[in-house]
Amino acid sequence: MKYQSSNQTTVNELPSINIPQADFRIYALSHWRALLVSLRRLMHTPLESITILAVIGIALALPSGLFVLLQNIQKISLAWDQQTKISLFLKTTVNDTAAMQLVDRLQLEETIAQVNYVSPQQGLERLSKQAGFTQALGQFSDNPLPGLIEVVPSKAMQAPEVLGSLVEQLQKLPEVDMAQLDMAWVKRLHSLLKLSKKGAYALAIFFASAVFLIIGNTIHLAIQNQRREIEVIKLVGGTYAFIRRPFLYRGMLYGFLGAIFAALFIGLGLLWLRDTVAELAAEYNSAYTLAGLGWSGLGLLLLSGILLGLAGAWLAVNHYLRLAD
Amino acid sequence: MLEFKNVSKQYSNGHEALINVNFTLESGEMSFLTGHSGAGKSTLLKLITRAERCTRGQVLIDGQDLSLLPDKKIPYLRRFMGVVYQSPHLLDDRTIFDNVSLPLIIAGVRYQEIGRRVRAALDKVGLLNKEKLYPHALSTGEQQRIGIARAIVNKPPFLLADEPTGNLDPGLSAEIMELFDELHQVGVTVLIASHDLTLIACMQHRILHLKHGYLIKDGL
Repeated sequence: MKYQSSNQTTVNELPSINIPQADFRIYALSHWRALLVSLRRLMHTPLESITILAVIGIALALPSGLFVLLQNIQKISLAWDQQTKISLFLKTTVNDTAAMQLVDRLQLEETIAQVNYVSPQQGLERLSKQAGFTQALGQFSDNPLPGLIEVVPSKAMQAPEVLGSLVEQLQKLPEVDMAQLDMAWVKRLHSLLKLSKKGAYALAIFFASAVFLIIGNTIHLAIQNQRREIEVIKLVGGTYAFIRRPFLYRGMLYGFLGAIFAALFIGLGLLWLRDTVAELAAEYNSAYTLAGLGWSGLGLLLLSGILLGLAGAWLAVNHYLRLAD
Repeated sequence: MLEFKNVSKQYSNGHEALINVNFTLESGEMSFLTGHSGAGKSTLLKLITRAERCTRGQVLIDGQDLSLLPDKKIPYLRRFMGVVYQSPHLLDDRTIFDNVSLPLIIAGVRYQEIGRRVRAALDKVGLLNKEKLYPHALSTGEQQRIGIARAIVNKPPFLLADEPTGNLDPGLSAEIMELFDELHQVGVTVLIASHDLTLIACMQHRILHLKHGYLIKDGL
């Protein structure tokens, strides 16, 4: 082992008390080693690690699973919105020609996607096709039905807020006796969805705090177990950053792997629901399939996990280092 | 290398551990610090590693006043010096190799370089073949030598030792002291706190003797 001669005129070439210049290679190497050390520590106690990851996974899966379900309900309700029709019952004084003129006018409106005229005669035919009505209709000498114009609003007008104004506008037309839209249930569904989303956000904050605390506490215990090591590291010149780094990586690993567990739980849940949903959809003549997290959802879930882990670990390590001072 | 100027240290409970201590340790010099227990030896060493701050005077290392050293520089001060303790502070769950390489890992040294330097340090203390063992498999004397290997692996220009032979029998103690002497021969500045007076007497080095916090003897 060769020692450099310690001559005071060449102090700068020796290990110096001054903080060395930032060196990216050393920095990257230290981070890489911290990641490896934290991974090794996780695998050192596999059962304990899996338990913690499962707990984090469940805590993350509950709110994100709820979001996935709400997303699905919203998708279905959008499909229903597209079938929204406004029925314009015309005054009996309006004849077919006048009605056709109104149809032409309405077709030019930007707020309306589609217009369909059902004459009193056609209406009668429609009704008589339905069992039970033929006899009843036979009681009338005259056709009692008014002319009907079915209006499908354009996509932009389908939101419940603007749909109402469109109906009001149509109601004011001189030819129209009554404009009818059964939109109460659409409104109710939308506000219910809104409320559920708010609930899901509250739940997400609640469970995110739980994950933050779980990881913080786990790191706190890990620090207690490694106190001797931390003391030795300090004795031989380890900086606080060096001490902190493996714990921060460990926190991020807990968060990241926990989020993967959560994604698996959600996937399993959807798999379990899939057949039931397919049966239900078949009854409604729909080929609806459940949507999963999606790539952006998965990315968001993983990112949240990592950030929560980092924050929890940061809190625990800094708390310890402040106490140690 | 090291300079104490009118240094006093009073602990918060009022105990005066060091009173107006003055001495200079030149670069490459080897010196013993003696005195009965409680005379202030450990306090003096703690001032050098900045585990404690002096209450009066100045402790200078390489011209830097340690009481002015910001906290974030303390780790770099400790990399500048190797410290050997009475109990070697080894990590029981790590191999000898991992224990000795710790200062290099902290400094961000590359893997190939680490292997080379750790083996050089282990070779120096005569325990090259033990790198894969765990500390509990070694005798007390061997553990102490591993502590020395860890202290010198970073090639610090300054080596401090606090009762390095405190737990060892006379034969092993002499071996350890010889090791320090060898390091001194290659230019390392060495300061050893010890109360093993018979051993020190035959080493023929400068002796700093503390009594009740006063430096009462400085010389051979």
